[in-house]
Amino acid sequence: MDSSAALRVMGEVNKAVIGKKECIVKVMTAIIARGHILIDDIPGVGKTTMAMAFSKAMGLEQRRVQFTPDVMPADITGFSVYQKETGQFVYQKGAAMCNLFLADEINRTSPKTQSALLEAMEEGSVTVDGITRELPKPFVVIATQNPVGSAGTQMLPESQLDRFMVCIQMGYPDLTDEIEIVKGRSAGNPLEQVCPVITAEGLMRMQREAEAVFIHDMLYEYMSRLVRATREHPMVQLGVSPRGTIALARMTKALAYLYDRNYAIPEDVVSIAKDVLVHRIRLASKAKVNQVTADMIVNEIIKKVPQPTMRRKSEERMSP
Amino acid sequence: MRLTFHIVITIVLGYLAVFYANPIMCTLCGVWLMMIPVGIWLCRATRDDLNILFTAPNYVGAIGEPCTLSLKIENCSDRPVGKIKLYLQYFHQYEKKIYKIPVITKIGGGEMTWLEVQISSDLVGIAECSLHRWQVWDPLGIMSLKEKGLSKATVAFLPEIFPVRLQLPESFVGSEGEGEDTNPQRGGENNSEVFQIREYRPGDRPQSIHWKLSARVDDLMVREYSRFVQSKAALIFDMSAPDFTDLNEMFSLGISIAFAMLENDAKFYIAWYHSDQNHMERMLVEQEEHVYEALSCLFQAPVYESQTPISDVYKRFFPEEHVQLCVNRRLELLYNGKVAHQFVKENLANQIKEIEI
Repeated sequence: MDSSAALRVMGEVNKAVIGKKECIVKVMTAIIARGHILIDDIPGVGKTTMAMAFSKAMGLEQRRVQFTPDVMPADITGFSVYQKETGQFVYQKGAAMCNLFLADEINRTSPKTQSALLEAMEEGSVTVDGITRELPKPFVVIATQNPVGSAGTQMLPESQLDRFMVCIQMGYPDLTDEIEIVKGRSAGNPLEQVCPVITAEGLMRMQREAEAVFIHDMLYEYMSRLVRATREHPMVQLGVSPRGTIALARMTKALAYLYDRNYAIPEDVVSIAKDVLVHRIRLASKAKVNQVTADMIVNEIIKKVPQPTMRRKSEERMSP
Repeated sequence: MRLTFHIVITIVLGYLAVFYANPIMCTLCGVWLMMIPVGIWLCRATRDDLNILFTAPNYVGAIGEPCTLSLKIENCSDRPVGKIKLYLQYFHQYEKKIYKIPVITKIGGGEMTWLEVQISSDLVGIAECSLHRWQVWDPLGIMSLKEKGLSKATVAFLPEIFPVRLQLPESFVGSEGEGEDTNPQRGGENNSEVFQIREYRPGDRPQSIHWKLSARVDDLMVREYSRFVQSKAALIFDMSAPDFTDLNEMFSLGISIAFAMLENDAKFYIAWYHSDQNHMERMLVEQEEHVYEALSCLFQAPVYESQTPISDVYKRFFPEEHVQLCVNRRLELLYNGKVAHQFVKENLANQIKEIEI
């Protein structure tokens, strides 16, 4: 296992996005796991900058669509145009025909346009006029959204949310980081400092290597138990789907790969479980009474479901 | 008890050892004395090796029905623990009384156990539950150590919700803004906001056609605007209720009416007076979860004593509003400040089956 390329990418992204190392690790993990990323936070915290920094650092062909109510599905998938000279319909590429598709403020457009991305995200292809066209490989969607309830936003459909491997919140930077950000901005656009350190082939090699990471059967069982617990929780109306379990396993493998291990451990599952599970849970209406959030439920489930191995506290104390 | 017995035996052995100067007695006394520090050490080690997780898995309960609190105890050492005593307590926001529930259990080495404790309440509102502290004994049960618990959880006890067939005046149904082709499924802050673009359907007004986009996609597309909810109706909860028993029925009446109003497609505000902040608070209700959200806020609003009619207070804060329904602790349903219906506690469900306003 050699994750040095991934570390180099994260190092480049760190130049443009200050103080968000944890978020950067999560996004890198999701990209290695062949997943799509949803970054959900208030405006102005660096969601778009991070997405663009990743595309630049990985040397991927990227396209960006600013989602507004009048963006149409054809803008994403492409469309056929009649050519008078040849007398034939010619396919015009949509924005999704790239390696890294940046869907900015995805929840500002209609559900119909959001749904146009479904096939692209799941199958890696688009179908226009009955003809299916493969998207370039690798294909990663990094979408940003403002919290639901902000002016002009509407909720992403469950089917769409489920296709995002992780949903990440960035949060405000702390005081020292904010000072650094302001200093960096006054010196110019921080994205200009980001250089490509790998290629699309390099990313695909990392993805293949991450897939070879070993997961013990007991760990698969642990992941399944976590997911099942979300379905059985009394405050949950719609629990996590089997696609969520698959995403959890793939993220676990990718995280183990990032840490240069060829096997996964329960701590890997725990550290990414919230990012994978929370956005896939739809709470019951009654949950509002006690201000219960999906985050609280996943936290509770992680604490409740026993991990496959139990380390003794005395051993923990001895370990560095 | 065991500690007292241990001290008595130590004194007796010590007395005999000194009085008879017997080496066996001295050794026995020494061993007996050594059991105290050994016991303390064992207690400390056991305490550090125990992981205790306290949760209220249901978060929400119904009044009069048991609600489960859950305790997960994990022993990370190989030593069995003969006795663990856990002190759970819960405090109901309206009752202002602390209930203590002691739980005693034991656990084998390297084992994990689950305990469930049932609590119930005859009052609506939030109960704050916590693992106040816990105590662990050494294997001989002589020495014990106490530890403060830090885990807390809350349980919301919901009022009973009864089916109500409600006949509302026209004024209760939310009026739309002046935007064309507003979509009633989509709430929004501004009726000039385009929420969706869709294909033209016969009957759509030509003004709503998005010509630029239609030219691009070679099909007629129309703009669909958001709905501007301008509800002027409010359901006010009069929280001036010194008698808690009435509070249950008041919440049942109010929340049942709120759900019935939703069934009638009414968009309305749930309003209440927050006496600490001296402010009239309100929340727009458009769907079921908003009622529960409002209920959560109502539980946080303090109960207070006041002689001023709540309708007047509401008018002072929101003078433009003109349709009010109000429920109070006397189980009256007021329409624009006048009593429209008077209910009694007994058999409330039957009384509110059909309400005409």
